[in-house]
Amino acid sequence: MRSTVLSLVVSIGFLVVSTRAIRRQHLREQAAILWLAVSLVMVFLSATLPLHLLDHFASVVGIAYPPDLILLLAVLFLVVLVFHQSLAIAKLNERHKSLVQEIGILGAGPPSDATPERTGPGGA
Amino acid sequence: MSPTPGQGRSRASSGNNPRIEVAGRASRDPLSGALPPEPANSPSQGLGVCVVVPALNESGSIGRVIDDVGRELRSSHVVVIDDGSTDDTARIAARAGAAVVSLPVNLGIGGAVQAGYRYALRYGFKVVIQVDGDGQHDPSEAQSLLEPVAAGKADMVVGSRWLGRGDYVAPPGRRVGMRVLAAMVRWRTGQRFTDTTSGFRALGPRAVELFARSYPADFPEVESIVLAARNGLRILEVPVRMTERRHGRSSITGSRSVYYMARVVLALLVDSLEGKDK
Repeated sequence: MRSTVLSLVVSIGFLVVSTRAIRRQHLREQAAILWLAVSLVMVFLSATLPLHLLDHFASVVGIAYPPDLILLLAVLFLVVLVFHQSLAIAKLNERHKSLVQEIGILGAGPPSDATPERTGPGGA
Repeated sequence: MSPTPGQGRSRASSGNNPRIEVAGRASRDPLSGALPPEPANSPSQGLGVCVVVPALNESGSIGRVIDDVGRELRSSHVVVIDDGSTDDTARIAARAGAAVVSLPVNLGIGGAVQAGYRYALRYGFKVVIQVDGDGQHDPSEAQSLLEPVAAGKADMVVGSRWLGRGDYVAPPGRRVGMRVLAAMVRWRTGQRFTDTTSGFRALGPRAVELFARSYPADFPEVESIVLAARNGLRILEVPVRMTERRHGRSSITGSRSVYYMARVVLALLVDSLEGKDK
């Protein structure tokens, strides 16, 4: 019973933190949905601890020691998450590179000198 | 005198101008009358050679490189890509008469060189010659790089230290690495190259366009040859003289050269997994 209360407190705490971050727009929409879902799952798992749902699921998938199921799911979730963020960073990096190049090119301005053929408006 | 868009003959070229949207925006942008109208960016008629010089803290050699290039390729436009130098590189380059693209943060050699290609593409240069800012490449050899591109015989010409001319001698360890890379590039492209890590190159319009769009970031020389070959570009290697660098040091020494090899080999292997298409 005590463990149920403890994990409920923690997961509700996480739910509060994540909804607050969403309301203050500290998270992008996509991430907001993800963390909201995660905190709801956490609340659900804590609230249903006394029902021994976890033991049931574990035996269904053939895991002898039920807490291992939680660890397995957590690790899988984190691996997928980190991979996703790795992709996101690569994309941001590419965009950042383009912007830096663009700033440099804009700063240099058009090549007006050193081209004798051109006596256009710039030279006037 | 206001910068009316109809002014001058530059309008004629705006049909294939990649910056045409910018011209439309100029109306709400109160530019000062002294500036030329935006679309006036086709400065180089004829061949239009842009010499791209990537430089990171090369204040000791950049001035001489620009002077030499100016002497060897009189009608070329020299643009130095200052990849976030902390020394006087940008100022010295500008004083020597080069255009300077100053990158606000360091992008590494690939990103810097690509900025040069994008600059060249934007301003309508047909040919790019890439010369390192450290003085290792002898600009008097640029003409022999340029020739096959100008004659339409190649889309990309790589200057090789190992094709007979010059007296450049690499340390033995480095030589082994270069052999391995050459073998891998031969496997990927079916073409024999002697100096895949050379950054002394000439590029025709197709290559400039390709590399402006996509170019490897960190150690681009070897990968870019494979990329070009895969896109059906004709690549040629010509002998050039290279000298030991006089200022600064190679960025790739010791454990970094092992890392370099691993990264490049891995990139080529991964590339090979994606098949021969595109």
